[in-house]
Amino acid sequence: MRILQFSLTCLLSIISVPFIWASSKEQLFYDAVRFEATGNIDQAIENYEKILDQASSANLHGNLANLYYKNSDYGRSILHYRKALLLDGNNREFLSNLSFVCRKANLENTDPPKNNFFDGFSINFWKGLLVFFLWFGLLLISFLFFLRTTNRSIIFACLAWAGAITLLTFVVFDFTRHENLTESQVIALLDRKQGDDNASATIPLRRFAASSSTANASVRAGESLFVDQSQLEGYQSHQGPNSQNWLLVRTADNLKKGWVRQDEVGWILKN
Amino acid sequence: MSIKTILHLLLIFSLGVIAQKTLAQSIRVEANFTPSSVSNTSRTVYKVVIHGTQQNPQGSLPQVPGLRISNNPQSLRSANFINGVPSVRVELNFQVQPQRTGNFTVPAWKVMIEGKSYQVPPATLQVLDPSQQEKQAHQDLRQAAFLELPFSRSYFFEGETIMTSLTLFIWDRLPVNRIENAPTKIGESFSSNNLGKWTAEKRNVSRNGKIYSTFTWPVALTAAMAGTKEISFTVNLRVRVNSRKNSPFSSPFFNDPFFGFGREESLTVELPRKSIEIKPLPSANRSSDYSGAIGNFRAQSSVDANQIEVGDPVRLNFSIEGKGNFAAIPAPILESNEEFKIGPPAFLFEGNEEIKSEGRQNFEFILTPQKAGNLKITPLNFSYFDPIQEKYSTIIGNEINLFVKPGEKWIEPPNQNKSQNSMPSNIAMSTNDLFQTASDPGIWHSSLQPKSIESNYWFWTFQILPLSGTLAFGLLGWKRRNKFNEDFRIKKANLSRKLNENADHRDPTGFFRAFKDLTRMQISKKDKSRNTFAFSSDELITFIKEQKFDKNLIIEIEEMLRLGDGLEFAESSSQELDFKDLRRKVSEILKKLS
Repeated sequence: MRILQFSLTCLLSIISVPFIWASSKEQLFYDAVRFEATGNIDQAIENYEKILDQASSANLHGNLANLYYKNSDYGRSILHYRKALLLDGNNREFLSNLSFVCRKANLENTDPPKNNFFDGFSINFWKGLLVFFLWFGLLLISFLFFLRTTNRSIIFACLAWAGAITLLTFVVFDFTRHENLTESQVIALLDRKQGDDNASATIPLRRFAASSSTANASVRAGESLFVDQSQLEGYQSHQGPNSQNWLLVRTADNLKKGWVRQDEVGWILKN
Repeated sequence: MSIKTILHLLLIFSLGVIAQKTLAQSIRVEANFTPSSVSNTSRTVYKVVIHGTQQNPQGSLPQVPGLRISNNPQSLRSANFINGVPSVRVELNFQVQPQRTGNFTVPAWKVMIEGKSYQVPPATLQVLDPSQQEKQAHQDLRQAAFLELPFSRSYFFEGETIMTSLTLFIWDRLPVNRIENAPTKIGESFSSNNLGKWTAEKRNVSRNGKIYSTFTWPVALTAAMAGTKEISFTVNLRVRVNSRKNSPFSSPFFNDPFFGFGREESLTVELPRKSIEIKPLPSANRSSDYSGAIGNFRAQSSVDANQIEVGDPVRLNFSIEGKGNFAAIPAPILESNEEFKIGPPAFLFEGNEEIKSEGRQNFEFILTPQKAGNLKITPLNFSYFDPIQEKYSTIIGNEINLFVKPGEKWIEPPNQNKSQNSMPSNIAMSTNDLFQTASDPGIWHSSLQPKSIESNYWFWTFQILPLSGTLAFGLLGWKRRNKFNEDFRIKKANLSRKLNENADHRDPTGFFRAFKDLTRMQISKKDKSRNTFAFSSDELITFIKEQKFDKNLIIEIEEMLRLGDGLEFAESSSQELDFKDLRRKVSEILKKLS
């Protein structure tokens, strides 16, 4: 009986956790909107950032990006628009806002290398389509075989099926490659204290993973960078003194490369 | 003389004084039943107390019809000082078992003490039915601890929140250890606030000639439906009771001299059910926007800023102040329109959150202007029912003007190289207002990484269906194809054998029939959609011609078929036929056909 009671209590506790969690994050969101409405931008940002520890939503990133823009922190604004677009890729407001902020930050294009081929659908759509064609083709061929159709018809169906499968496999492969690129993508960010003159401030790409190192080049806040993959596993990183993490990054055109502190960049795919 | 000797002398002197005093004390006799009221199923004690002596009295206890009194009393002697005065007494306890209900009196009787005769006063016992006795006990208990719930009016309205207080009276002599729980409401006709710890406590409150301590809880009751409804409250007290069987609930335990010692028991105090008339709200003159507010209120609307930019949120605060059923008042309806995107309202109450009957209720809306200009916020009217005046009232909201400045807009950049700009063309043409704040969070995601379709259980489960279909069609097709080929082979062999036999027996009709069937079989592979086995000679020739065979072969087949038809139907002569040559020709034709 006691075990039953204990189990029920545990079960109820576990069930109730998501509800408590959900209500708290929604409350924080509404409070943040309220703070913004009363002009308390910093408090609103703080609230949104608190929610990010729990979950994220397209609107949350969109609102946060708006607030960073209002605070002239273009790097973080771009970062959060990019995050918002990951969750709601077709949102015209986010796309317009991102373009506007990029122009304001004197950035030509901070977009990820776009997947122009069959763009507009998610990778899951293409994967689903690939599986559908795979099985549809196999079913059709086996059905023709069952109907004792002529070999010529079966061979024709096989060829058409193989062609479609090859094409779709290429699309899925292309999307996966693009996804991997996004995974390694970061946005250059300025120190929060430096936010006043964002458009002209830059982030140095250092020769070595040390603050005292001279810079190879520099990038503007909001610019897209890609973290180099390590030959072993993960990304090219270095643990410096004072537990500072350094990442080896390069620009999309590979013209600039160097080390940045982890807090000088924001991962697009990580909360 | 030593000090020890002096102390001894003083002790002897004191004892002498005590003995003299005691002897000088007059003898007094008392008699009573303890308890004096019992049910006919329980026992009581007839107690005779003789003050001023410790000698056993001599006497004969009179018999009382209806009472069985023990002849073997328990005697107790005691000696003590009360305010410096020595006192001795002897107590005789006779066990009494009542045999029926009624009032019984043990008449006065005489006892001999120290050679003198004394009169024992009469004593009366009330024997009640068990229910009567219980009622009596309850009556006593009701006076020991009771609840009180006053109402200011004789009737209320459906949905009205009635503010009152529940008071627990505890008689000072009732040995209450603690109040076990907050009072609990009985009955579903009213909803009530949660009663936690009492909010007021008073001592020495006089009621019914007794002194009480009182504990008060504020109560907000809301009638759920119209009609005459009952309500009651109950609360449990933890009291100390005598360990004796007949205490405290079968008798008024507070008369017990051993009161305050023994075990703890729970005592339930219940408010006698109160009937309250609940009237339905009048339907006459009810405003269309009335949403259930009952009380007396004031309302006003305000915004935080009068000048903002398109897309910037602004707070609209609609507050209702006064007394009434705040808990039942919904937020006013304010929907998004072309001018404003409006988020869900936030409820903020200033006052006692538990009772919510008096204070200020704020409804905060976040309005995001969608276009520039001098915009007017829809006035918020508020209707309520005043239960004192028994009529509906409407507070007309004030009109709020908001000057919205145009925000930044997306304008297509001049001379932009479209190949470099990866923005979709429809976005570039957009002139949407920028940086608009979303007033709701939308769908929550635990990760920014899109969830891979392969991680979905159903993705793999659904593939079982086409896999099963493919395997089924493949296997069945394989089996079917093999059967068809085998049948074809056997049939062909049979026909070939028949052809040879007919040639050996020089049977032209059978020979040509076999040839015709073999030809039909061979050409059946060419088009499986047509049943070639049912073809006549002419149809067969036409079909062969359609299949674009060699012309010589077609001629040879046609010749053979005509020859066979001639022999079978025109009865031509078969004497000149060379079956050896015919068999060779047939063999060549069939080879070419396959």
